[in-house]
Amino acid sequence: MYLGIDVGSVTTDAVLLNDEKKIIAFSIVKSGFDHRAAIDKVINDICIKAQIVREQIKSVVSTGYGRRNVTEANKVVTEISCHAMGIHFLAPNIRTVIDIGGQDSKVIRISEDGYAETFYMNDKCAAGTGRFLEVMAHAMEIDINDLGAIALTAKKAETISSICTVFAESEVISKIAEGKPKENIIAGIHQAIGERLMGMVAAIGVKMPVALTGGVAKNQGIKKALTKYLGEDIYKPEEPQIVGALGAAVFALDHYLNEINTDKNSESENKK
Amino acid sequence: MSNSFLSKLDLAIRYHESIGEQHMAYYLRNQLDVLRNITEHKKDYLVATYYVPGELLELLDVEVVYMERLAGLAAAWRIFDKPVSRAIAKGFPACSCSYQALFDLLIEEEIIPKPAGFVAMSYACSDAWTYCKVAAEKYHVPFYYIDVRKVSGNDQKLYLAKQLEELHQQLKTIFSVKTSIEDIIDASNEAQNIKEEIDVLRYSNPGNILDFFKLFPIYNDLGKKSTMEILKPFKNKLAVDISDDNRNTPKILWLGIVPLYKNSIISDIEKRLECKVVCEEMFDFGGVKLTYDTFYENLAQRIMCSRFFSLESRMEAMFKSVSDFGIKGIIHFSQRNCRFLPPMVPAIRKKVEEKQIPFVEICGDAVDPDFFNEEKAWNQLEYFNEQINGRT
Repeated sequence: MYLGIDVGSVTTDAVLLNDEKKIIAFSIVKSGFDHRAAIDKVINDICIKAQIVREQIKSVVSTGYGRRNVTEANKVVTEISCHAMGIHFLAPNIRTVIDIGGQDSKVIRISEDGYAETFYMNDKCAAGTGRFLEVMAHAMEIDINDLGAIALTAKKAETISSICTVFAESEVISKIAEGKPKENIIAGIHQAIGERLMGMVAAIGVKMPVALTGGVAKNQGIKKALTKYLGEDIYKPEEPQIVGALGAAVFALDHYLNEINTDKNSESENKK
Repeated sequence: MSNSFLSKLDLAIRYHESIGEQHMAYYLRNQLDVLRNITEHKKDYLVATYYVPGELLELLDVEVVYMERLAGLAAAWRIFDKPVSRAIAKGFPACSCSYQALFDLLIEEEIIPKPAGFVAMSYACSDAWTYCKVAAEKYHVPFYYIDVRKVSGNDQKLYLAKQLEELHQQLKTIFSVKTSIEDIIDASNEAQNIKEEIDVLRYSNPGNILDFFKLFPIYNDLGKKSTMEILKPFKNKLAVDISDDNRNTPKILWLGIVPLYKNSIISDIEKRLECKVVCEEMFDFGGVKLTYDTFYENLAQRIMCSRFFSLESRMEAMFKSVSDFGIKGIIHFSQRNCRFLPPMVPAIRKKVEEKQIPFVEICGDAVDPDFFNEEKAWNQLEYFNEQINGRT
């Protein structure tokens, strides 16, 4: 078994692959304050789901911003490479990934063999990230999980700043005060994220088809906003949150096979 | 010494002396002397933008403070906590360049007195001269402007030369003459000769390029005799220190400026990515020497020979570095709100990627750490390293 662990700012995700490169199980837990506890929890959880013991895991690759905390990792790979490889595993025709995480967003252009060609990440500002949605959901007093569905019911989108989360929040509050329909404000929020992400897409140049990954990809409003800007449908994996961990699992399998090959080669050298 | 800026500069000078970096000590001492003259001895001073030729101002009996250099030094020694937020709180536009914000704060918070005037060029960017114009109005002092059209050719050179001459004549009516043009020319050409010898040493081992990166604003001091006191010991030190140890180490090209409050990022990158960083040449003006008959034309020509004068010349120089030093990847540090170098990034990225050279753009602010996410930068740099080393 080969394990990929993605320690993100909001969740820690794990994916387990078997020798046939099939997904055996996956798990998503909250990262919380204690990354080590989250890592232990996600490993235990995935072992239970796959009905294996830890010792059956031959190789581990960690990724995500807390990747250095995975002491079990045989290798550490950045989430840029992992997202590229993860989406390639699921849909090999994809050439661009838009990953929207809790604290950062990135756009990755992918080669035919699943490696990242180039990428662009958001700067220090949270605009265009999951954090932006959290702030807006709080301002609107709406559960973040309901935002996307509400956005889809809007007749028009109100204009909201895509430049700064703080500006956008005060704009949202003004729109509420003006009595604008809730769904139109929420659609505007999604449009603002879409604008911000399209700026990042334009910075590296888009290659179609495009996939959407990360926890925020579950939000239908974001997908709709991006689809409108791109003018083409966007591929969203069934479970977009685990794509980074999946890529890490693919690298874990590769790493194991490379190690085996290296050992075999050195053995045959020794025999000679 | 009550002024914290002066105290920190003094401390830095003693530090560099103690570690045998006489050139840096001399360089900083020159800056300290200027600051002492304008703060403690109340001498008049002009504020100039980076490309205003130092030779022109050195002719006159007035101190000169180059805005970007002084802001850079203040950032490096963290004279202010949260400089941009503080400047904004004092009414400085939020979308402005942070160098100008920090410089303005130095005056507003009375670290330095109000200047006797501002001398600004439209090159490199409109923000700098616009700031100078607004500041001159705010402090009720003269504003001198030089228009640089970003086109090449003899007409442009003559147009620029004429303005430089007029500026000189204008300033002569206000400040007394300190030095002759001949003396300035001799000092400038001699400094450039030493610089050329330094370059020969540096290019023989590109790992040593960083040393000069810290000194590049010495371009502003070419007409000063004291510049030789900086360049000569630097050349001697390089000749002694030079080694071939780095010859086979992978080289990374760093474009743009560095976060001044964290310039150790370059050596950190070298350690973590096991490479040597070659910094983009900031002091690159085509080696134009000065003659008495063509003094103003030479100064104009030198500005037009700057590698940043056009996107094409910057790219040409960049690809020359790639081939000369066997560059494996390129990092571009993009200054927040800067309308000079970062707008070139999309074109550079496209050309670099066509040649399959890994490229990463790190966004941040060179003078205010509040706008630089170092953790994110390292994340990007690690991925960049994965690309260089066979992708993972």
